[in-house]
Amino acid sequence: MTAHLENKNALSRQIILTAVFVLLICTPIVKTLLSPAMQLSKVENRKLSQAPAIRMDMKALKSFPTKFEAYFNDQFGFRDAFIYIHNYVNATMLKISPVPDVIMGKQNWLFLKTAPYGEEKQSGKQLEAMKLHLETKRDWLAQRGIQYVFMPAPNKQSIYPEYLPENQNKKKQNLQIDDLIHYLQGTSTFMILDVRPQLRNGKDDDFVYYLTDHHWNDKGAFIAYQGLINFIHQWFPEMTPLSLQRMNQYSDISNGMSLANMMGLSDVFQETVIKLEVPRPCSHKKPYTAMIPEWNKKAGSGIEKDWYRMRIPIQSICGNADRKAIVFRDSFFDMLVPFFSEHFREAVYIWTRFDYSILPELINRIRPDIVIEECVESEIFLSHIPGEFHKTKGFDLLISGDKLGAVQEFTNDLQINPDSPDSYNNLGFALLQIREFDRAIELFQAALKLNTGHQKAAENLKLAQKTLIEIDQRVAEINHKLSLDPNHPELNIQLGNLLQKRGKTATAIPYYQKALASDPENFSALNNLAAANAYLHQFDVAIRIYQKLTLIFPDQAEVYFNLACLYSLQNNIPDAIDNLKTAVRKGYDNYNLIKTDHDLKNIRKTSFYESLVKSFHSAMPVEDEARNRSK
Amino acid sequence: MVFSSIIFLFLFLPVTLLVYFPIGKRFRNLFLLAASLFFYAWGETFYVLIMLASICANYIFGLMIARYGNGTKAKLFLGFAVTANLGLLIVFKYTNFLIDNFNQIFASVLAAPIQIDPVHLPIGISFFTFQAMTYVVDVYRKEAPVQKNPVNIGLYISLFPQLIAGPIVRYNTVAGQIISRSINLKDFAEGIERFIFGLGKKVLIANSVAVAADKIFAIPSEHLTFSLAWMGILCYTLQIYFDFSGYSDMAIGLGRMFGFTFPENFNYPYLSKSIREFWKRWHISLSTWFRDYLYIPLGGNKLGTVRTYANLVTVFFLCGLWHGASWNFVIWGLLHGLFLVLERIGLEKLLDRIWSPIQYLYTLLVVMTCWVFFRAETLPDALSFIAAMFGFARGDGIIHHTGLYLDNEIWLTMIAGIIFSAPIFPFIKKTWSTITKNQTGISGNLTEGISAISGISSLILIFLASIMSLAAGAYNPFIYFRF
Repeated sequence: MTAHLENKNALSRQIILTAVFVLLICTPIVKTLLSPAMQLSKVENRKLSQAPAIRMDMKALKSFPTKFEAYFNDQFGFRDAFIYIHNYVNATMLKISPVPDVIMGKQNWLFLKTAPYGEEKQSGKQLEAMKLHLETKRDWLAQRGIQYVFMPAPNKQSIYPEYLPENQNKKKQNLQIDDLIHYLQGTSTFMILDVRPQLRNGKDDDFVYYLTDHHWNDKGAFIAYQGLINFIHQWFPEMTPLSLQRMNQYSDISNGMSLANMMGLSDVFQETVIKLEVPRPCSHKKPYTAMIPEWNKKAGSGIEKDWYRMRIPIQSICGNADRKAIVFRDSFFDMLVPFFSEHFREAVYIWTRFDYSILPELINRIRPDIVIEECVESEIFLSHIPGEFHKTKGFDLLISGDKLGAVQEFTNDLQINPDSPDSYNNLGFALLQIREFDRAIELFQAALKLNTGHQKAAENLKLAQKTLIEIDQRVAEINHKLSLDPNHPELNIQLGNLLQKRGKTATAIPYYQKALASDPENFSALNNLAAANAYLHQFDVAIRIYQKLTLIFPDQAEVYFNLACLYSLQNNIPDAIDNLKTAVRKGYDNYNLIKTDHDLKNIRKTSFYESLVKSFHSAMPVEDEARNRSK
Repeated sequence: MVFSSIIFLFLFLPVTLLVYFPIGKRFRNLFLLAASLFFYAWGETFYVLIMLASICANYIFGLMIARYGNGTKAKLFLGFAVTANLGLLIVFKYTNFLIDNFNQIFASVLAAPIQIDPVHLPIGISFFTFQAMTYVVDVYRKEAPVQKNPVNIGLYISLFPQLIAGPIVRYNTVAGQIISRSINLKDFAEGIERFIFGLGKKVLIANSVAVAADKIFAIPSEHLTFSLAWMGILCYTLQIYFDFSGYSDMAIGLGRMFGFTFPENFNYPYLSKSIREFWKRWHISLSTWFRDYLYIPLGGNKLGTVRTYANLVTVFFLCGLWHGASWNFVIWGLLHGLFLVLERIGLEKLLDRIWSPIQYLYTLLVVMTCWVFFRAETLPDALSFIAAMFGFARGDGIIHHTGLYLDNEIWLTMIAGIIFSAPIFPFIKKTWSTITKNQTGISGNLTEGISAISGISSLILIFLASIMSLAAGAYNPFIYFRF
């Protein structure tokens, strides 16, 4: 080859390389300039960054490069094509998942990465907390005559570990849920509904999960539904699940679902999908409009707004059925809804974890027989707010009148959540109930320090301060009047009441006694003296005074009720029952208090109590005034 | 801004090239200076002022040194200049480190430890201060003429291709090119080729092994196993080489595209028979800098054996410290210094006599073990990692095992990394040219054509694969940005 030819060849090589390179680096910017900026990326399921405005202040200038780069990275020309080819080559040729959240399994099975699932053993502390959460929910609902089911939806990995790539740590699968089941078996009477065995049996006949989605398919959902109905059969013997044979069944070829879509390759990963339908269904579903304003409020205007808007509560109605249900659920329950709805006159499906803040109103509205909480296995430990059960117990105790118990629970919650303004406010509210004004005010102020816009804390603080000032003013007034007429029975009683209100019960007692000295049969003086003694745990003294009252005022039903409480507290069951009977006979009708008053807890196990409760005509829901105030 | 980013490849580079060539020779330096300052300010915003201050100061120091020629005053100004440059480096890079150590040493005496906020480390400050120092020293030594045009000094210190991770270009190497340089299609095409190779090394190999290295170095030491530790350090060994040499390749390639010829920085360092050879092949611009501006001024090897060893250890102590304000880097440097001394004492003679693969293995073993100090966050971490490498692993391999980190991608990149750590491309090129040399006529044209097309296509493929990987938001931080 001559040198000339060699040079010519080298030259053409240089020209081609230069031309191709310059073309490659220049065309994307030309395309970026020519095409309008995109707003959304369907593949990535997010909003794309937009060009930042140029402003001439220091802060804006400093952040400009980062913002501009975010915009350019999202909008440069041919970006989608580059990403598509990258993902296609990785997923189909190298068998590597191009996105961190998706695991490429064997035979095109895709899995969602669910860290830290299967890696770390749940500590005993977390298991104990979980147990308390579950038991508190069950008991809270049981008090209202409602059953509770907790149903984890198994991760795909739990049912199909054999399709996971070899390098996944199979040895540690299912630790969380099995840990919880074992822990509950040893320490609690609560049983969670575990549908994994049925699904594992079912997968021999057909796929029970989608290949390209994290969820169970209709077949898997049907098995889970049967498991659920069989489980609640223990309470509702009339309920038996529909049979698979009765369902309309057909299959369809579908583009790859969510996991394939996350890789932007739903056209590449197609699969055959089995569909099940209830023939001639009784139920129909619709948005649950009654809750939508509340839901929108929950959604707020923050970044989670769209998430909530897409998951509004729905309601199903089936005229042939009797029972009613509330279902807290996630995406897994979607496929169960058509089957489950067939068994309930009314069912409401709310896409959130068990939420005490919306339950009382829902219960009032729907009066359900059962509350179901379904949640994907990998999140069963994540979704509880730490300290939540302390909070719930605290509210229950407040309602039932065990104010000191409530203070203790809220104190525990505050220890777990020392940065939560709500926790300060709740404890402050409980302290207000036991008239610890000064500490309560400190706590409301602490809540406001953490969140100056905390409305409830601000209201409570205002209320507490106002009450305190009023009481102190009245005390001063009455003291002045008493200086003129020290033995005036009414004034003495009023001062005693004010001092009790101020949280100074011990100092109130002498004033009642003074009133009784000049008017020995004064009902208020005796009654309040008894109450003050009861408050100070001087039960014998209190009982003597109430007994004296029954002799003077034999028809005051409330006095018998108070006696019943005191005897119950002393564990004197026969006298407690006796007095409660008398109270009811004499017209005592605060059934709620009978059902919930903490003082009566010792007699609730008796057969008398059960028959008494049955005799109440309507099961009145508890007014959750305390909860609403405080939250 | 980094080279392996979408914004550099698709916005900064095309715009800079498209302006640079048409504006004519008179304005090219000014434009390149402006582009370089913009490039720096993009990542560091107002810290660009520090670089501007350094440019101004060194410009004046240069003028002063040149003005006083050989006299004491010139020496005085050189002293000022070196102190100012080192001072800048110490303030921004070592303040926190010095105060932490001061607090520890005088913990019992101090009433309260001195506390200051972390000082921001401006990117590339270690590189550009070293470059600035070569300018004043070269002017003092009369190895290069003083530069009276501040634009040219500014361009020398801030030139974007080598600004943030080298190579450290000495003033006397590029002084002529700054004033006048010619550029032709051959240079430009070679620059493209070099740049693409560098980009591929960084994006396709370094980024990929980095993911595994990061994960393994994050494993708590009680879970490390023997095989995990070796896999981790192998990945890191590949990562640091492909990351840093890829960056140097991109810098050299970009330099060529703009008409500069920068010195080579790497020469297949993992194929060395001794640590001495390793340092002739690894980060060459830094090792020669230390040789010419520190080791030789200290007396080099001319003042007797003991002094030579002391000089070596001093140089490597400072070399370690240059890499980062942490004792781990110092230990890394001292270990290299120690092995260099050992080799001088007689280890090298001993090695020379044995089978050469053992010599390569010895070097790799030392280099890889030393990298542990370079990578680990703390000294205890480094020690337990090394313990795991040498048979004292505490992990049971259940929670963390190599299977978790070895997917097809890691396999592929590790194998590619090992292959390309050796001079495979020069070998193929050479073999190919001997095959085609004797062919003439049509068959000669054909083979030439095939080789040109396959060469260009593989370059374009590497470029496209890198772009796709960057577009897909793959892992992208540069290791040498820490320095």
